[in-house]
This record gives sequence, C-alpha cells and structure tokens, in this order.
Amino acid sequence: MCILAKTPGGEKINRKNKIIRNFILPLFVFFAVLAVSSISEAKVYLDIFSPNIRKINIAILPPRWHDNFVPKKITPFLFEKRITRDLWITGFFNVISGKEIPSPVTAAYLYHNHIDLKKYKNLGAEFVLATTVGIVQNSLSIEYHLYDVALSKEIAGARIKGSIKALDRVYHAFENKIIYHITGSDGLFDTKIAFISTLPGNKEVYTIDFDGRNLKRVTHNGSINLSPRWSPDGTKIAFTCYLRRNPDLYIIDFIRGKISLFSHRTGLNTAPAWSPDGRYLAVTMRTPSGSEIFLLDRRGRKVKQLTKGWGDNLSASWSPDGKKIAFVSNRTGHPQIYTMNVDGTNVKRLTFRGSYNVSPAWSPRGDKIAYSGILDGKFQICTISLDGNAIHVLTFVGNNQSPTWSPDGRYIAYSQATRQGVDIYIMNFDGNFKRRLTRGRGKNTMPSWSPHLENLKK
Amino acid sequence: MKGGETMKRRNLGVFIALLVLPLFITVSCCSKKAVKPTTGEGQGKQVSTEKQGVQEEGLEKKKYPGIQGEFMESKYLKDIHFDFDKYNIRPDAAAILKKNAEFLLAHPTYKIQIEGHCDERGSVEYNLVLGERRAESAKKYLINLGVDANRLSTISYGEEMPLDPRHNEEAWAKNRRCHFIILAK
Repeated sequence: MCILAKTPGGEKINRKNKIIRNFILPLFVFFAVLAVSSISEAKVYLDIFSPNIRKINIAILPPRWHDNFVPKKITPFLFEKRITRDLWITGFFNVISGKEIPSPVTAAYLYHNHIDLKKYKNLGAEFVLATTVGIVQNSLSIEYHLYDVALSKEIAGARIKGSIKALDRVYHAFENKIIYHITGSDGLFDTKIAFISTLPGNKEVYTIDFDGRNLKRVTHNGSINLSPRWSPDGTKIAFTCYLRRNPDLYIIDFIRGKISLFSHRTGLNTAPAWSPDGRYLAVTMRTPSGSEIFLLDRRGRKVKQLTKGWGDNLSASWSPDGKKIAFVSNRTGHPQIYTMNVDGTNVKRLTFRGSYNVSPAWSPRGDKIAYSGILDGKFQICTISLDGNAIHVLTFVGNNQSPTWSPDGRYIAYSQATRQGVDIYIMNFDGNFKRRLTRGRGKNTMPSWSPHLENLKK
Repeated sequence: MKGGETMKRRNLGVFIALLVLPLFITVSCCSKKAVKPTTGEGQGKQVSTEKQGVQEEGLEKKKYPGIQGEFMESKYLKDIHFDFDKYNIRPDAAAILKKNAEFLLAHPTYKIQIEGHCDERGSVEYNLVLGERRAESAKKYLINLGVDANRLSTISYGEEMPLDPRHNEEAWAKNRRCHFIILAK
C-alpha cells in the first residue's frame, strides 16, 4: 500500500508511460474488418427494448482451424469457450455449442462450407454461427457466416483480422458484429466500466471491460478517490481526490497521458457530470448557503451557478440532448430527485415515494431516470419515467447503489453490497439477467460506463 | 473491508510511531529547543526556540495516509456527534463545543480544521454534502463562542473515514461526528 502522497506533478510524470501503454497503444494496433459476402439485411431480429424480451437460440459450430503454429492463448477449444461465454453474458442468447452440436466436421462442411441447417432446426436453433479461424505469424483472422435457420439462408458474413497481441480487440470486434447483425445496434464489447475499488487498501480508480476481463488500476496516489466519470468521447475520466487535504477535482487524460488538477475550490469539488457535448462539467461545490451545482468550462472556470438556496443540491446527470439536468436536492428535508433546464429554470420534483432517493442517471434514450432509493431500509435501483408515473424497482437483494447506463441504454451497471462483498453488477434495463462484473475482492463501488471506445481510433 | 481497515490502522500506527519517536528524541536531547510541527501544507520543519510548556501537553502529531501534510491532535479537543441525516448541534455536542472553544481561546495561535464525518448509510456523494453541513455548523457554533473565524477551516470526509468499521447502530453513532485537528500552532 502506498502511504506517501505524490504531488499531482509527480503523478503526471510517473503515470504517463503506464497510461500510454495501457490505454493509448491498443487503440492504434492494426485492425481491419473485411466484408467477404455482401449479404446484409437491415432486418432487426431481436428488439431488445420490447417489453417481453425472449432469448434467441444460437448454435455455435466448432471453428474450422488453420494455423501454422499453435499459440497457447488461442486454441479451438478456448475460442469456442470464449465466444459461447461472451454471447451468453449479453443476456440475449441461449447458446448451443460444444457437445450439444452434432458433429458438423464433415468434408462437406470443411471444404465446401455446406451446412445442413435442418439439423440445427431440430436443436431449436434460430441462428447458426460458423467460423473459420486463421493464424499466420502474429495475425489472427476470424471469418464468420451467420445463418437464419427459419429462412434457411446466410444473413451476414465477414472476415475480421488483427494482431494476436491485441487478441481481446479482435474478439470484441467479432462479437460486436454478431450482436449488431441480430439486434440492429452495436455490441458493447468495446466499452469499459470505471469504478472505485479498495483493492490496494485505499480507494483508487479502476477500469474493467464489459465482459469482466482486463481489470486495470488507473490512479496510484494512495489517497481517497471518488466519483469517477467518463467523458462522452471516452478520452478522459474526471474524479475527486483528497491528496491536497481537500476534495479536489482531477481529470485523467488518456490521450495526453496525464492526470491534472481541474478544480480546487475550498470545500467540495465533486460529483462531476460531463455535458453530452463534452464542453462543460456540472460539479457539486460549496457555497455559504450549502452545496450547489455549478457549470465549469473545459478549463475549470465557473460559467454559471445552476441551483440556488433551499437546502443542498448535488449529483447532476445530463439528459442525452443536453437540455436538462437531473439532480438531488434535500430542500424538503430529505434527498429527492429533481429535474431542471440547463439554465437552472423549470425545477420539478420527480420522486415522491420514499424519503431517500439519490444518484440520478438519465437514460441515454432520454425516456427515464435510474436512481437508488431506500425501500424497507435498503438501497434499491429504480427507474422512473419523466412524468414520474412509472416506477420500476429493479433490485431486491442487498444494498444497491450508483446506477450507470450503457451507452445504448440496454444495461444498467450498479454496485451491490451484501454480506458476501461489495461488487459491480450489470443487469438488463428491465432488471433481468443480473451478473457480477468484479471478482469479489475489495469493495467495488461508484461505476461509470464508458462510451464506445473503438470509435476513438477514427 | 475489515482487512483493509486493520491494515490502514496498522500503517497509521507505524506512521505515528515514526513521527512521534524523533520528536521525543529531539525534545529530550536539547531541552531548550522544541521541534515545531510542520504546517498543514507540509513545507518542511521549522525549529523554534520558544519554550513549550503546558501547551505541548496532550498534543499528538499525525498524518493521514494519502493526504499531504501533517497535523496535531489534542486530547482537549473532543469529537461531537450527530443524529442520522442531521447536522444540528445536540445539547451534548454544545457542552463539548464550549470546552473546545475554551481550549482554542487559551491557544490563540492554533489553526483548526473541523472535519465533518458521516456513517456508512446513504450515498457517498450525499454524505459528502452532509459532512460539510456538520463541519459548518460546528464552525458557526465556535465563532459564536468567540473563536476567530480565520482560525477555523472545514472539510468533509463524508463516510470515508469511519472510526468504527462495524455495521451497527453503535458504530454508526460513533461515526456521525465532527473531529477537530490542529493544522498549525
């Protein structure tokens, strides 16, 4: 455990190389998607936002394998296991693979790409995924063909190629493609979740991939770090840190490879919320009359005080169109969720049920706000429609806090505390299919979901 | 959680020992001179020839891991406690604040930081705000008792520094507090 505090300047220099190695380099690794067949239909097979979502049955055939050496990290067995697991964690699929697949390894399959779809129809499969994996030197290529069993035809196919040094990225691109073909929107395998972990003893900022792999420690200051929030372009994380004996706001810039002090007014500089265009941060700060939400520009200058008087106002979250802000206020004596226009006008109270509702997170689809509220003495994640009428309670076990939406609004990540530990979980937006993301070591809290990071290389 | 806490405590203990030990050695070696504690900004040590009498009594040098600068604690500056989700000064807290004010008026050079703390219930961000309120109400109370406002700064640690890591009413009652530290003498 690091006890000696580093100055922000020292942090800057020491961390630079590490940040570049961990975050920047992978973005520029050679990577390509080549279309091998022009079959592409705009049809959406699975509307993930429909009220009664049903899982889709997909059969994954054993990969056809071509390599001139066998790297331990990529074998047909590991490949199949990984694809099966990754498609399963999206919560959209029942995966039929491995021993459940009647032997497809026939000469017709291997050499003529002939697949007897009827055979898989009998297994209940609606889709069949066939892959050919080629490894030449340090390059991995995955050619895939996706078949619609009912239509008895191929609906998509492509070849994805990349370095085996960036294995995860090749897999992620491939998996995102499959999700796209079936749901009509991009998969989330190129997104990360930032959070606070007590793994080193104190609270530091960490990131983890959507699939639960690739846990990385981002801050190393040995201090108390809180409220990490990704910028909308995915190049920065804002967070609060006590290094200078004040809760100051810092920004990690992954492109420039440095951490800098952003706002250090005496008192709170916390709960940073990036505007959707990335130009402003709505920050909770101290005033003589209590805590208020201020708008800061890119250089940390105060542009405007958004809330005034009537108790404390905190924890801003922007609407996706950037016109409104949800926040917490205790003006009636207890914390409740409110909304207002970005200029501070048109303040409306949204939550009336319960006496402790906090941590609003505006859905990327704009139609509802997730928050955590105390019900029967425990925190639960809820969503509420903008008119305040439709409230859904999504969690039931333990204390659940800090909801954060996936960039497409399909999932909510949150922190769950039970006797077993404190971990980050992901569930579908309707509360179904909960899965644990972190591994039960340390207390893991305050998740913030990144935007798509693959776009960064463009 | 508990492992982390004990480790933190142990490290803190070692730290205090390391910091306090040389203090004693210096004081006993050259009895006329006393080492003045570093200021809150941690800008190196100053040596003062001023005689340290009763003032030195009950003072303990400390440092929080991961937070710059050292500070002192006095056994005469006692914590005050609050009700859940409240920041008003209770009668028991008012009695303690009166004694704290007497100590501060007797030591007019001391610069004090009032730390607002909360129990673990509630959201981290809301507890930061609540901790600020608690520290500010203690500050106002001390000002009303005649302590110069310029000597008093406040900070909120929310639920980040529990005194008692357990998850029960007794622990929560201990953790909802204001703690007083001496940043400079």
